[in-house]
Parts: sequence; C-alpha cells; structure tokens
Amino acid sequence: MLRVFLILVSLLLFVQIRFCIAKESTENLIERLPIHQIAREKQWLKLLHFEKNWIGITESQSNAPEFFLSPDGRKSAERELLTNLALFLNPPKVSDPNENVLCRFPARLEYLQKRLTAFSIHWPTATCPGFKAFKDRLAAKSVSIVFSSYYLNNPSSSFGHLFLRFNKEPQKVSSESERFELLDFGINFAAVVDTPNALIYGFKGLFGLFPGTFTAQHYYYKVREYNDFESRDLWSYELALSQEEVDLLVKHLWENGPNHFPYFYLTQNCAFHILSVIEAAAPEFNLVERLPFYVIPSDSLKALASNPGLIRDIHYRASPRSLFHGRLKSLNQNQMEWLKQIVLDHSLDQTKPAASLTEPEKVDVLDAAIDYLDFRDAKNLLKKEKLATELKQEVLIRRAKIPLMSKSFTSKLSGNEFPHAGHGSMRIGSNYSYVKNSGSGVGLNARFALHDLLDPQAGYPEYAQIEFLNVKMRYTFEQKDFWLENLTLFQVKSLTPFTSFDKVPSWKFRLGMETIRDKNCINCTAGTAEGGIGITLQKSVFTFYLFTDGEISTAPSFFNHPVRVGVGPTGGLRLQFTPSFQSILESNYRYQFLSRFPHTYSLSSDTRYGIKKNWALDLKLSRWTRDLESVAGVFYYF
Amino acid sequence: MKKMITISLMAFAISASAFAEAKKSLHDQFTGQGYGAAGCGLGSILFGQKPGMVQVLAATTNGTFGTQTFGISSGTSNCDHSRATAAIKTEFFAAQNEVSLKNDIAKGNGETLSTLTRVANCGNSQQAAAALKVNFSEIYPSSSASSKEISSKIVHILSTDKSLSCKLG
Repeated sequence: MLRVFLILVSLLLFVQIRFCIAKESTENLIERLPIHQIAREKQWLKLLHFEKNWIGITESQSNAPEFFLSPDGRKSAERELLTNLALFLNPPKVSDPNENVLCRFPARLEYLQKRLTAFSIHWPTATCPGFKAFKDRLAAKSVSIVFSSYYLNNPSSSFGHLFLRFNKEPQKVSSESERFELLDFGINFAAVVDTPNALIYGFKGLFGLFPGTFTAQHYYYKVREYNDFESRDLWSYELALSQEEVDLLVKHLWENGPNHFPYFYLTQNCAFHILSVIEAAAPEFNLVERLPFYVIPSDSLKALASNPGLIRDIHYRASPRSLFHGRLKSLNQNQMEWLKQIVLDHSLDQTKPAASLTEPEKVDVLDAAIDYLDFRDAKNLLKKEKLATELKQEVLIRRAKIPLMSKSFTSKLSGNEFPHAGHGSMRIGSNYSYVKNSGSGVGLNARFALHDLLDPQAGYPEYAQIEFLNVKMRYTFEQKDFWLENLTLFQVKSLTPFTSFDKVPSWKFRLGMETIRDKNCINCTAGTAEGGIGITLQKSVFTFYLFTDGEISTAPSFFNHPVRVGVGPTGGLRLQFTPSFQSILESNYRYQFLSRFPHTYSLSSDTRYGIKKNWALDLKLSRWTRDLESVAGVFYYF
Repeated sequence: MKKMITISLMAFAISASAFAEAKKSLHDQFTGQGYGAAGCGLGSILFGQKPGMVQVLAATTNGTFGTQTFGISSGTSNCDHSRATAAIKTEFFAAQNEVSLKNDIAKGNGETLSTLTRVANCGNSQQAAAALKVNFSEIYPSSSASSKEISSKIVHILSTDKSLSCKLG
C-alpha cells in the first residue's frame, strides 16, 4: 500500500515537474542558459564567421542580412545567439517549409542542441525538404580539400585555386574505380563576377567589391574544367574529420547558401573561406589563425599540414599534359616517330614507322596521342571545331579497333611535388653589397608572393616565376642613404620548354620600379613596364631562354625626355645542380628610343642554394652599362 | 539624347538582371528554382563566367551542352536531375563528359566510362564497357555528331543489350 502511494506521489511530482518545464516561458528558459559564455566560445563565433578585421574589431565577415536573425547579428554574436535561441524554441510559422528558421540554420541549431544538452530543453522539430535533398545528394562520408595547381594563363588562377569535395566513399580506404569520385559533389567559393572588363575585374577583386558565394556542382564539372580543359593537376587532401563533423559541415554550407562574403582576391578569398567553414564544423583545428594576412591557396594547405593528424590522405590527379609527358618517357624510337606523324602531321598512315610496332606498342602511342590532342586542342574539341575533332575521331576509331585495354597511368610521386611541401609563400632577405658607384652597403628585401626561378623548387612549377610585390631597399655606408632600389608590383615568367610537341612560346611581364644604371641617369629610380616573348630550350640540367623584349620606363631625371622606350634581346641560362641549388646567367641589350645614349646592356649571374626548406643563400654579380654590383645575401621563406 | 538614355537604361537593366541571375545560390540549386551561379552545362562553366574574350563563346557552346536538350519536367533548365530516370541521368552525364567519355569508349576502360555504367545501373559494367567499345563507330559515326545523338545512342545500346543488365527505367 505504501509502495503504491509512493509511486503515485512520485508520478504526480514528475508530471508536475514536466508541466512546469513545458510551461516555462522561452524568456525564462533563456535566462537560465549560459548565453554570455556561449557567445564567446570559438565554435559559435566561427559559425557566425566572426573574425577580427584590420582595425581590430571582431565582427562577422558576412555581408548578407539573410545570414542573421537579429538585426545587429553582424556586430554582436551574443544578440544573434539570443535571437537564434528564441526563434529556434518558438519557430514562426511560414508557408514554405524551407523558410523555417530550423531549416535555414541547421548547423547553429545542432550546435546549440549539443551544447545545451545539460538543460534538457524540448526543441521543436521541422521537416526541411530542401536541406534533405541537398544532404542526400551529397551523401557525404568524408571531405577533401582540392587544390588546382598554378595556371599562368589566367591571372586570377596563377596562384592556384582551392575548393571542397564531399566524398561518398572515403578517399583513403577505397580504390578509385569503386569510388566513382566524379559523382561526388564539389563546393566552390568564388566571386560572382559581373564584368568582362579585366581592369574593373582586377580593381573590384582587390577591394572586395564582388560578392563571394558558395556553389555546388558535381565533381566531374571540376575535373573537366581544371584537369581537362585547363590541363591543371589536381591534389585532393582528405581531412580526418569525424562523420559528425562532416555532417555539421554539410549543414553549415547549407546555412551559407544565401550568404555572401565580400570577395577579396588577396585576403578573404577561396582559400580563406574554405578553411573558415571547415573550422566552424571542426573547431578543434586551428586553421584561419595559421593563415598569413594575405592568403595564397597553397598557404591553406600548409595551414592544414600544420595541424597534426588532420590530413588523412593525399591523392594526385594528373592533367592530360602531365599524363602525356609521363607516357612519352616510356616510348621507343619507332613509337615516337609514329606519335609525331599522328599529332604533328595529322596522318595515321601506318606504312612506315607503325609497320614494325606490336599491337600493345600501338596502344601506347594512340593513348599518348589522345592525351596530347586533349590538351593541345582542348578548346577546339569542346567547341567541336572541324579540324580538331576530325583528327581526334580518326585516332579514336583506330584505337577502338584494337581490342586491348589501356594501361592506367599513374606517375610516381617522390613527395617533393606536394604543393604543401614548398617553401613559404612570403620571403624576406638581407644582404651585404658592394656597388662600384656608391660603395658598400646593406640591403633588405621582402616579397609578398610567391616563387622565382631560383627559389627551391619543391612544390612549385619548374619553369614559372610568379611574383607579387617584391621590395628591395638598400643603405649605403658612404652616403648614409637609404633608398628604394627595386620594386616589383607584379611579375610573371613562363618558360615552358619548346619541344616538337609543345610548340609554345615563353613569355614574361613585369610592372614595377627600378634603379637605372646607365649613362642616361645613374642611380635614378624609374617606373617601368616590360614584356617579352621568346623561346626556352631544355636539356638535362640546362634551361636556355631567349626573349625579344620591349619596355617603357619613365623617370623625371632622364636626359632628353622623361619617358624612354627600349627594345632588345634577353638571353639566359639556368643550371640546375639540384632542385634547391641553381644558377642563372643572364644578359640583355636594349636600344633605348628617345634617349641621348640609346645603347644599354646588363650582365648578371645569380646563384642560390637552399638550406633546409625555408632558408636560402644567394650570391649575385651584376654589370650594367655604367656600374658593377656584387651582393651576398640570405633569404627566409615563411 | 533620348535614345542614348534609353540605350544606357537598357544596358543597365540587362547587366543588373545578369547579375541577379548569377547570384542564385546553393538553395536555389536544390529547390529547383534555378541553376546557381555556376550554371548548368560545361559550356557555361568554361565560357560563361570568366572575364575577357571567352565570354562571347558561351552562346556557341551552350548550344552543344545546353540543358534545353535535356530539360526535365520542371520547365526551367536546372541541373537537378535527382528525380530523373536513370536513362535521362545517363544521357546527361554522357553529354557533360563527352570528350573524356569518347576516349574511354575507344580504349574500352577508364574512370569516365565506369562512372557512366554506374549511373546506368549496369549489373555487368565491364561487359557494358566492352559493348560500347565494339559499337564505337556506331555511337560516333562522324566527328560532327551532336551530343544529343551520341548520348541517346549510348543509352540505346545499354538498354537493348539485356545481358548487360543496366536498369535505365
């Protein structure tokens, strides 16, 4: 009897308590919660994309009112938290279920539900058809960051590009054929560009005037675009996130659907925001704070690598260009001849070179030809231009007649090629120099990005130089003078070796200021723009190049005329003793129009030796028309 | 003068609407209201978005890769084929991956080809790949065959040869 009574009393009490909780108003409930504390926690701030801006104020980087439920959510993480909680607990009725706050902000909701489990809150639920469709199509088991390598032909891609891929099967454990990676989804963060004008594009990109948004596409579009069409190698870095974190990341990307961030080409770009969404879902890793102020895509990979255990697997997808060069190495003399006949003379006639080839040897040639035509004629094939498609058709018909499978070609990687393994993207240096006309002195230099032809090669393209903002200052002991010796705003050199298969010219471009050392003015600083087109030949450790250059420079102190136009050749030779020990000998001659002394020339030799990953020694000797210089220095990359 | 104002107003309206079009987001892609900034079709991706001269090519390639050919019931040319039949998905995949798929069919193997037989739910994917290779000149009778013709032939071969057990319904 007593027991029955006790049970009745406890039941009554329980009902009473339940009743009280149910009746507790949202305001009272929220008052009990550690709002002040949560609003300062890393994950909440990351979910709202709060970061310290350049004047030191911490606020959200988002520009979209849709991303906040509180009118001042962009400025106050705490007020946004309060409003989110109030609306999550009492979601307003909406006609479109996708507009429900519970469906609009699933990651914030999940985070708060987990964070507040101790308070046994009764959370309302909702069905979200749009989000469910998105989640089901992604079917994400793991996530990879994909790096699309340097592409010099498009200035906005010259530093590479970064995007996310949600893997339906983990990258590491399954083989490629079972994974059907092409059907995975890629998530891209990019500027919504509204102008075909390159100058406006550059300006708006630098100053954050384009909105950047996330978009989803099947991964095959990415492979076709970057890998095939632009012939760029793709590197996938699979992250060791838990299934729970992957799911939260999917939810967070959904929240970011209507969101947009100002897209800054140099700072808050694809590389930055790909890391910022990952950190929101997996805050135990430190990613954004490991990024330099200016973010180059490869810096993001370095930030990943600096978190032990975060990278689970790295996968390399070779472009048709890389595949072709790989296949080329395995061909014998007769095969080479037939390959040249096919792709260069556009003839599949088999009387001569092909007659002696076995069927498997023919397969190797035809497969190499297919890769070659794919990168040489990429645009024409896609546009179905007649000549390109006809030749390709012939090759493929020939290939289809041989009932042999193709070797799947994978190149062996030494680890040196990994884009995260390269030297730091910024560089500072100091040196001691002796100059004939101004005596000895010391120099300081700083380069914002990225790589020149002498820097240690690991992780960077072998025949390319991409520099952005390189400043050289010098102090002379005799004159006790400190001056800007050289400034490069932007410089690109593309020295693709010219072969019978790659009949591409080399080209270069530079914009900046430099110290003129010829008779027209000694040690005066001139603004210059120069460009050149030429040819590069490569044999074992030697890379030889010859350019025809044009330059325009201006300095108020030039004799005769403040502007001069120079034309002439540049020749150079790079010796590569090892990938981190190289020398360049270079000389040029210019005929300077509009000058009193039109003949100018220079000669130089520059040798750099990389010690460890991020240090290098440099010795440079130069001679100009009216001066001599020798410089010994050290560089540090970070 | 009036004409000038009209023209500039029109230009402004066109560029504004192009911008609005481009601003469609993740949500729109998955609720069937649009096809997102990235557009649908390789042509619009490669030629439609980047600044510079390639812009003008968008029109030509859209004809080849445009979704009009593959437009499904919603009436808007969007990329959401999640509710389409395997046959439509296969045709679409074949058209979007045309260059690479053609290479693989000529070779008889490759990632794009094995993905295609996966999309077509082929029980016997190796045999399906071999069947497509044998029929290479039928699928690609000339270099000027259209994407639509090519992809429907591929689907036709996969669906008529019962031994491949592709479920395209």
